[in-house]
Amino acid sequence: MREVHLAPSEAIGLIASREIQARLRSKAFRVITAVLVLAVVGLVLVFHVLGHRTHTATERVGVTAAIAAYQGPLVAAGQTIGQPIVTSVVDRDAGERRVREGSLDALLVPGPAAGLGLVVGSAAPNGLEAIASAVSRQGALNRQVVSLGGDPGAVDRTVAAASVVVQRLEPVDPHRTARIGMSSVVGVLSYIMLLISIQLTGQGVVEEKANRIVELLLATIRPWELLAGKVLGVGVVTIAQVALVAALGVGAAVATGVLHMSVAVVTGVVGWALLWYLLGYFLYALVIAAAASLVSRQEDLASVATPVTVVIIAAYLIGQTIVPANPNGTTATVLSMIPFLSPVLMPMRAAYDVPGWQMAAAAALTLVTIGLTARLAGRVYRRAVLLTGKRVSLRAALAGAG
Amino acid sequence: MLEVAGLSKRYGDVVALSEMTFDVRRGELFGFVGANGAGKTTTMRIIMGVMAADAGEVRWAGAPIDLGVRRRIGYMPEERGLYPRMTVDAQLRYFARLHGLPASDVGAAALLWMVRLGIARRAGDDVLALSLGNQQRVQLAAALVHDPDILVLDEPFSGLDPVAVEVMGTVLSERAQERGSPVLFSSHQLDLVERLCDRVGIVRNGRVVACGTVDELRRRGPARLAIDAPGVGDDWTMQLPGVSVHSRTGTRWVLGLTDDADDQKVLDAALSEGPVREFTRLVPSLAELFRDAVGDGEVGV
Repeated sequence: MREVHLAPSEAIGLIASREIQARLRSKAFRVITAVLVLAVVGLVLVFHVLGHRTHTATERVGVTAAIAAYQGPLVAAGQTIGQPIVTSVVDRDAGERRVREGSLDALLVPGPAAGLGLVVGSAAPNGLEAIASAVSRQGALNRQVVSLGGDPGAVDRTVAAASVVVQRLEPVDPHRTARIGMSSVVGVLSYIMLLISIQLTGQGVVEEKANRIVELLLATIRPWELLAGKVLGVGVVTIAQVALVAALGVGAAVATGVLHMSVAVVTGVVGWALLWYLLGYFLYALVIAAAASLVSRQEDLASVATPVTVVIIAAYLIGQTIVPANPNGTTATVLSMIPFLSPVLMPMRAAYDVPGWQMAAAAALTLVTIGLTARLAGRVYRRAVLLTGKRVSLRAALAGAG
Repeated sequence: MLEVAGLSKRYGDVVALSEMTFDVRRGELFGFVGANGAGKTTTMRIIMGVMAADAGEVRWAGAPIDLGVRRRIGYMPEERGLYPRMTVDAQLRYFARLHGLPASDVGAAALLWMVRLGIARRAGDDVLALSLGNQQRVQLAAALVHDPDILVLDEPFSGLDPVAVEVMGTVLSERAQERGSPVLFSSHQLDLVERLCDRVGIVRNGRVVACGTVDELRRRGPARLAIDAPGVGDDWTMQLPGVSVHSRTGTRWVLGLTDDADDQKVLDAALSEGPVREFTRLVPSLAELFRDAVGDGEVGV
């Protein structure tokens, strides 16, 4: 009889490549990928549009002839808070009509007593009310200074010199807002991708068990080879999916100028996110594969997968609650070192600066946990995957002989 | 030679196998028959290594069977297993590769068996889209595509149309005769087993209760005589030693004879009372042997 050699690596490779082809052929998988890409690129575009509104919209303000002298102070006051303002002199009726039409954002008119009035549509846009009040008060103050025989210019200079000097104990982070945004996006994506990928793994295991294919497979390869090939295959497909989503998201962000950060920083954050996705996937997928081998029907998968999905969702919620406020605080640091929480919390913290030793320690701990989980999962899988029918209890799977 | 030696297996309190022992020789078609739950599937699963025995072992060429030998077995499990959303062609190539066939050979091997089993037109279709009969043909192709040296097939004929039964039968005989492969298959279609098999093993309660060629089994069974004698009285056999009445239809009697009973004395006795129109030594069918072997109340054929 001919000798047949099929090295474990070949067997794992065959299982993994079938897994990859099956996913790529699946319509559901392609739809999910398209939805993810659209969601991330869409999010970037939304940021882009919102950013434009708040930073560059110029307010057009009409001023009646009687108070035309206020145009200069109005523009100057706008500049101090970064709000560009253009003014024009109009008469009151024409001005009110143009505010209604929308060709003016507001109309400045003489007010009761010594103040000013602001005519707007339904609401005063972008802090115009505050700017107008400041200008109005300054006018009133100047008039009072003059009537008391003083020099308004000298008062202004003295007041300006009495400003508060802020002393920072820590260096300014010019990208704080961008970091919060990135951390949040990385958190959401890690959590969604982990849920999707472990779902795929679980379904794959149950499919083979439900269709009894596993009996044919295990007559020719070893259970651990099947388990490894499956987890690896789904891992390869989903990491490619994550990389695609990340690349298109970052590409869109760079193209639209949403991220005002150096490419190195962004690449670092994305790199950590991919690495942690990979570690998290292997950790959770092994648990899910073992859990899925206990049941024989797709309908029962959710019941055994719930404990894992709950941990992932909890990690995400903890992250969104504690990381932005204090990314390097004790709570965030300690929780992000716990193996089953690290894969979601660490990439979120990575958007801020995480000390290298903490990253390395968390990654090492997770790797050790993956090793232990693989042994345990292999044991459960080997015993449970051929026992079709009613759900196999975890205790029976762990305790049985063989 | 594939030897199944003293396999025992319990599921909790239920005894599935109790020292199951038989062998399948090279070039031999071995039929495995028995009621549902008799232990046929469990035996095959243990041979394939997807289940462990509590005691006993399976040997090939005198040595305990291992994964290397199992890769040379073509296996058809009782519960059919194919990926629903994978094309017939891709599926066959995949199973061929898993059994160690080199990548360069799998295309030709898949095509050969698809043509042979009449499913070549469906090569690009998902298994899901095939009729049950055609899925069954794909399952057989999956068992044969790596050109196995041994075949272990659990109920290969169930769910097949008559044409496919013919094809399947021819393929199995051919593997045994031309390749010299031992072929072990189980079936409830006893006429088919009788026609195809060189040897038969009848299983009851987890052990082989009768094993041999169909002729050997027949000789071992009790001898039967059919005799049509219109003139005999109701108690004409009473005086004949070792003769009992098995059944009676009108004037036709079927008699059971013990080993030392003399059939010529029976004929004399009948002739002394009147004419004899028929006198035949009955050859039991496998179905009758099976019924005798497994006893009453367990005839789940």
